[in-house]
Amino acid sequence: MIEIRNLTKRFDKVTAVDNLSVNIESGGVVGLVGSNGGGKSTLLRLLSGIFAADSGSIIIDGQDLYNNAAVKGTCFFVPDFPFYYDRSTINNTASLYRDLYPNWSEQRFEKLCSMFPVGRDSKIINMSKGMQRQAAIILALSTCPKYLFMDEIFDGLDPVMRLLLKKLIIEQVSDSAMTVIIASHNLRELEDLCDRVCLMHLGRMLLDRDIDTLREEFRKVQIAFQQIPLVPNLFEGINIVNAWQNGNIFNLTIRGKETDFMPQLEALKPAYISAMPLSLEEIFISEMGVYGYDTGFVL
Amino acid sequence: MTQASSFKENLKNAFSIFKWETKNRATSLAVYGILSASLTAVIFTLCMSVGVNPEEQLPFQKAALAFQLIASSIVFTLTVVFTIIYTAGNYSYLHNKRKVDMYGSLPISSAVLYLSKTVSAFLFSLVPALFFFGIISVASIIMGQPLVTETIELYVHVIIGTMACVAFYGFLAVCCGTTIHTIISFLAICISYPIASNLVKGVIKAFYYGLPAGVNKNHFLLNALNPIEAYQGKNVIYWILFTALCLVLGTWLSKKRRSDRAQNSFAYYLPAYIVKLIVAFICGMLLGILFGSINVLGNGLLGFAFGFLLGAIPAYVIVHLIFYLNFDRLIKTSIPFAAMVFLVFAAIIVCNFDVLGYNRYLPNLEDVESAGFVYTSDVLDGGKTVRIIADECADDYSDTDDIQKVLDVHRETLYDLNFSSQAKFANVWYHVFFDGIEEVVGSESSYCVGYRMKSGGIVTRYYREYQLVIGSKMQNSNTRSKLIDEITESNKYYDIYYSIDTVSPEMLQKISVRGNVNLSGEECVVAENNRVSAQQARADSLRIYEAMKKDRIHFSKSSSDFSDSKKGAVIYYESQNRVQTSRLLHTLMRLSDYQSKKVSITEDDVNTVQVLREIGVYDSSGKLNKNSPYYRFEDQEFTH
Repeated sequence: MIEIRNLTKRFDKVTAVDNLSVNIESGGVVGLVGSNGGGKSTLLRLLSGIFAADSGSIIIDGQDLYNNAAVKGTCFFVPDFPFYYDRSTINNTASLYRDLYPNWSEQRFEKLCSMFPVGRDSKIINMSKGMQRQAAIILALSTCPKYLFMDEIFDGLDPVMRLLLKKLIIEQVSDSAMTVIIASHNLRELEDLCDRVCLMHLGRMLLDRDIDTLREEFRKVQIAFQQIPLVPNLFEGINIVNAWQNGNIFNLTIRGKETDFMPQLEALKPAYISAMPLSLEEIFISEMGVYGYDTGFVL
Repeated sequence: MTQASSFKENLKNAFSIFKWETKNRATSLAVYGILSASLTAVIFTLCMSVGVNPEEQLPFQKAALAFQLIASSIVFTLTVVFTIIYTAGNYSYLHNKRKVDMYGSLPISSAVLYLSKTVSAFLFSLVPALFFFGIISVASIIMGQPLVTETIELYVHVIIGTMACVAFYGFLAVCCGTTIHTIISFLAICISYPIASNLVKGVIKAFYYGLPAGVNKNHFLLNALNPIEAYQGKNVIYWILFTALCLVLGTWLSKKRRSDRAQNSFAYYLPAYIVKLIVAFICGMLLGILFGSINVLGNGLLGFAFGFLLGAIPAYVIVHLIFYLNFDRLIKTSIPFAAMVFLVFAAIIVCNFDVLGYNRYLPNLEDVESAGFVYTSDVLDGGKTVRIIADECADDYSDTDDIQKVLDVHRETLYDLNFSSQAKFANVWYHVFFDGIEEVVGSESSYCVGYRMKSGGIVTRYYREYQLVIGSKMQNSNTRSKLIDEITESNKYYDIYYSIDTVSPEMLQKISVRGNVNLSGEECVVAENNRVSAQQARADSLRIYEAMKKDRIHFSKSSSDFSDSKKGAVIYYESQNRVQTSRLLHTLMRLSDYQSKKVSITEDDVNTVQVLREIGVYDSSGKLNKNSPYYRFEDQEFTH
């Protein structure tokens, strides 16, 4: 279990992570989404023990993480731009990880190498971006980490490889209760994979929900009238996150359950009404708009 | 709650990092190996082709010696170059953000990682170097030439120098946020510190007339922050301590270092402060001394103060801008600069007004037990510091008349000196740019006076003629010269400084004897040759030397004393290397790096003549024996 308590990280005058507290239970996939500069990558680096917190703590399985080799041995971080030496190959990088990571599985390494179409003895630096990602994934999953942190891991992967990655992650989560935290802007991919989503903006956690609960929370409603009812506050009492009107048609993003707001809307005698769940991307845009992120031009 | 890793685990992890580094440095190690191997082979081939002499008892020996010295020097140079390349790459894991991600997330503590990186840098630099040194040594020994001192010293120097440089660079790498800042800091400190310390030394020696080289050119303080100097092999103990201190500090700071400082200027600002202060100090001092020596503002001291501020402030700001790229923190970091300015001004005032009365001190006759005067050029061993020469001369004369003569010379010297601040500032240039040369080479125009006081202490002073020229009252110098001549032309002085006793048997290298010094090309060189073994030549040289001592033979004071005589000898002796040359030059010049002194031999020197006859250098008629195994004739003028 990861316990983050009042975590703060500053870079000179910029507060990248601001007094953040969250618990992440073992086994499951957490999607970390948020605005650019929201603090996602910094949080992952703090979780991997690369950065030391200015204040607060990260406790993993009851132990302080920072500078603790034993705990770091159970974690693995795949950064957005992994570093490889000019001579690095999958095989010789594996020789380092084999020595350092206590849970390294040779069997898994062999299996992963056969699954991904990358040369084990080819120089990683000469590979395409997608193939470099695949190399990083092979090495990361071979360490059999209890906690896997990945930053923009879907970048550069083709759809087949994305699917393979998701399948492998799900397998390992269900087989060995691995905890995965993925920071990404690719919300469609996260939607398929994550159990839980955390939304970060300006170093703060705006939202932390199970993905199913989150889907339940928002509805995209399209409502059309033959003639708009002449009532002062048409949607009063309904928690509308965003509203857009085109003539007699309204497109609403509503926070709440259908059972709560549909009777009120149907009472307005619309000519047409439909309610659909929001995609993660739409939820993200709506929520960011609430917190002052300039989403107006998108909507 | 933190679970500490065991020592065994740390060691295992460190070894894993070392293995990993080895794989990644394989290319540069291969380049080093190929270069060293091929250059060693080239030198070996050249030495064997040119240097073998079949007529000698050990035909390969000289070729092997040349191979040993040249190949070792080349491997030494290559090692220094590759150490720089390895080390800069080795610590970039602290500076490159992508490397920070990789190394920072590895399950290894930052201190263990830092130490394993440092040990890797030591081993990458030293193991290949020692391997090639080993090959050179074995090849040389097989050819009959044991390792000479210079080669063994090279081994030690490369180890000490590499360790000091790597440890210091590692410490700076922890403090800096980028590799370029680390390199700039390393070079700036290594270059600027010796300049700054020489300026300090120059000011002390220029302001305290007569200071007998208390701070000599090899003192560790003069290069305390310049580990490149460790490659010279001096002050070994200091460099070992320096290496240990850098390692401890570097490890401690690496544990506390914020890895997010990568690609910022600094993680710790210590190197920035050091460089800013030293550079500002140098610029301030140079301009201050210039203004002081030309009496800007009508006063040496005021000129110095104005010049110092005019040089130091812009330099401080420029270095700040180079390091920080903006004016942020300029005011905040200026407190140490202000403290430095205050200290410099205070020190210059104390030196200028000679608060302790050092410059004008002249002992009272009744307080002096013994005294002495000596021209430094009259002291044979060039390796002696002026302080030792001055200390030793304090016991030369113990009778009152002679002591009074020394006091008189000293008094007249003080009278001739110019104690104005302008003259003192003008003196600084000499001490900064030429200091050390005169003291080591010896100069007829510099002399020491020394007093052993009845209280037990020794008072010594060292004066240089140029000090007496700058703004001096030269009308008095004739009086001083006459007083000096009275001492130096005395028999006592001749006995002390021109006796053959000043060359010890250990220093003696060979003796060249001439039947008639004016006859070209003819001499008997008592040294090893095709017909005489080294042992026999050594024994004969020592016999001649002992006979000369019995005859109380003195060296000729000038060349004319020697050339006027019919017979003579040139005594070659080895003393410490007088003029600092490059290491390679020094080692290559080793075979002929002797000093020499000449003696005239007359029939009165019966013991000497007798021995020369016995060993066959002279024939029965007292002429040079052409049948002697030492005899040689070269159709050219003697140039000794």
